[in-house]
Amino acid sequence: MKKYDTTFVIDGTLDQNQREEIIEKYEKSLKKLGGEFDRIIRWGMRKLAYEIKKRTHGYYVIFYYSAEPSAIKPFEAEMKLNENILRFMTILFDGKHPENIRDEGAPGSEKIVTVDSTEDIQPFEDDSLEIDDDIDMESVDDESDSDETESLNEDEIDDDDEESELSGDDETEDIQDKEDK
Amino acid sequence: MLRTKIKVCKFCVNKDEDFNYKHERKWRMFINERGKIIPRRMTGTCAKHQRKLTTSIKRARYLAILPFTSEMIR
Repeated sequence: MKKYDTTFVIDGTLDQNQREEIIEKYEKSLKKLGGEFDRIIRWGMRKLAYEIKKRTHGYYVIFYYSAEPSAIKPFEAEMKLNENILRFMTILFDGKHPENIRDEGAPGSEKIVTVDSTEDIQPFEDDSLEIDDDIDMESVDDESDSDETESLNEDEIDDDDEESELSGDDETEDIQDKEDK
Repeated sequence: MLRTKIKVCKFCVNKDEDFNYKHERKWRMFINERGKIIPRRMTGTCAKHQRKLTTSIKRARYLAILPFTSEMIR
């Protein structure tokens, strides 16, 4: 038995009952294949980063379970046949960390566990903000051609080694090329 | 040229080993506005963690958590 983590995206245009039907269906089929569930997380409706089958929203569900490796293939094959599942992915669960994501809970159970990840990620944001400020100051003093460089990375080039400055130039050229086309 | 910042790997500093693809906001820090993964010479991430980060971002892209490319360009 190995621990797995399967995330799948259900078509966002379906209503709650249809969604639950799908979730239940795959829960059952996985149990039939010898899977033991640790946890099911209904991550909830999210905006897709890009359209899939003309859909802009998807309902994310995560299954945590342990199963024999041989059970994965038939399970995924079943998912593949369902047109209401836009995407699915199974990976091995490394079990080191709890998932810091929101769980909507099953409808009616009123279990809304909000283990939001904001606290964990805060240091990252703070760091990057600091860096941004520094660079703004310096780059404005040094060079005045930073009109189109808005992103953090391109700003950072300005006060870096000559080597990375060269590569930075390349990138801006690339962007210009693409825009010309 | 000013050689000010000695960049260090944020994952090493924060002892952050959680490379789960579901942390959208975390990975947003490491892609530029076009959706490209920022090279580690700019973020200062160490090689080991950049490899893990890349995997996470690519997984997130497949599940439409992160964009392959930004809306504006398409």
